[in-house]
Amino acid sequence: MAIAGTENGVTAELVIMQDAVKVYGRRKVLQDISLNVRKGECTALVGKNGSGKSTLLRMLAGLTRPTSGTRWVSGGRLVTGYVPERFPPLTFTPWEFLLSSAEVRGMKKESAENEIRGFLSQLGMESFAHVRMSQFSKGMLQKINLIQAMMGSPDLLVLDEPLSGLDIKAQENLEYILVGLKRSGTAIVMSVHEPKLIEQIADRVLLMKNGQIIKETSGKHLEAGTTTQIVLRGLNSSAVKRISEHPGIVGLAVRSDHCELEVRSEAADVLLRQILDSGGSIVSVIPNMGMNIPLGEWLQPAASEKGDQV
Amino acid sequence: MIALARFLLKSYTRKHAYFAPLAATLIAMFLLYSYKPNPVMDSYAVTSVFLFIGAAWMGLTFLNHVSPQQEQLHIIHIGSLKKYLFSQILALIIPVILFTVIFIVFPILTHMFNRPVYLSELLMAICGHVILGILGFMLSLFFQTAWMPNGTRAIAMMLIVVIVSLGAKSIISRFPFPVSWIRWILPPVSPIMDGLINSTVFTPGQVWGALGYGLVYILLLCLIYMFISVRRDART
Repeated sequence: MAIAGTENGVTAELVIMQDAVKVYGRRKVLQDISLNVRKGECTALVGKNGSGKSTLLRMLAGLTRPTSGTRWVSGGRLVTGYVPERFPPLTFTPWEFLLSSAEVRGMKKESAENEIRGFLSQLGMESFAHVRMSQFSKGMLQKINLIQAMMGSPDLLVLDEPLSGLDIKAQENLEYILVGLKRSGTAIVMSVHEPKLIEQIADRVLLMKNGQIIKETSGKHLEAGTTTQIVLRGLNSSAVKRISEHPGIVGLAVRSDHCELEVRSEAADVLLRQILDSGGSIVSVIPNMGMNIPLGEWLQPAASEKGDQV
Repeated sequence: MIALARFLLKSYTRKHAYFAPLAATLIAMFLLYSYKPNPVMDSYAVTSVFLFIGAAWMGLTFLNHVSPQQEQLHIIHIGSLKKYLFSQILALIIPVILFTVIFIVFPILTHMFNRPVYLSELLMAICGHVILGILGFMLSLFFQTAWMPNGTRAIAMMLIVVIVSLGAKSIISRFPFPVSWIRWILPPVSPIMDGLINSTVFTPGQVWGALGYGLVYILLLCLIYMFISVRRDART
């Protein structure tokens, strides 16, 4: 197979999937998936329940074999970190579990301890390091789930709903950590429902439907077009005029009973506050990323994803 | 693999799923030695069969105590499914060795035998226990949830195999000659038990031959298990 993206004889591709198909019983869960995962690149998978995101992630991580097609891995083996959708019920403390995981990975005890301490501190879990995880909430378990995957500077990080159950502060800290990992060359592939995480770290977004990648948006399109649609009502014409002068406004459509604003996502918070302060009310806020994909429809909250087991 | 085997054993013991097979196996041994004196090799033959049954039971509870997500994480951490499977087997050898020590040492320390145990007998008994113990958990590998999602059916089928293995000698003797080759498919519990019981009647070569047959059978089971298992996906 020809390997694309080689620079100075060193391939940037970590995993290449070619026409991969996965069949369970009579059901084709993945169809003709061709995908390259490159070093230091972040890929976000979006799609509705049952679209095949979790199966694709497991296949990328090497946990599931394609029924047909190929999965090529750079150098034959990668150091992979994987965050399953649900963390297993374990009767260990985070310290015991993470240290054992590091030992299994072949990490040196001292460096593993330092890394664990750092991650626990960054995610606000240092005071729970020696508490049994059977007493943990979903969010706390998710933090341990993330730490076990990020330890040991993996080449490939596969995340299934990484923000699930995390509070805002932890989400921000995780974004910060993931950006750092990406900069150090870790390839990240994640299924995600939070537009903010996509905006922050994704280099490309793959839209999945019925086990197929139906749309791919990457690079400039993603950066240039990150917008949010705000539908509002209750503002008089002068207030609308004043708001429309904001530099964050990309488009404005005044309807009979409401207004539709297309705004740059980073300006959305300021504009929402301005609308409310001017006496208007918000009908809806839909991030559409400028990818010409109705992301509001695809980016469902993680809580509704329980059935996404394919 | 040693690190993962250690973690798996810790995880297993913390879930207390070991308690029923451990208790049942020890109770069986205490019942056997509830009176004395006892014949040496006959007693060791019986306790090695106890270990075969106990190891099969313990193997099944051990293999099924790991949730699919936990299995996924272990495979990722250790780097391959094959290494994970070997770690499981490695972990299961530890209780077999512990049981062997108990079963061999207990009757000697408590003077349960009618005469001193000779070194050659001790070696045969140790090998018999270890081989039948490993054989027990090797059988359980084929009846774990990863292979048979219906747990009740898996237990029933494993029990049938265990029972048929124990009674193989008398069952096979009732078979007509053309189908007597079935004896080579069944786990060699009966020949090993026979060899240990008749160690004073059989030549040492015959007894060691039976034990060697058990070892070859284990290796074949392991090869078949690994050949099929490495082709499966991690559980979901």
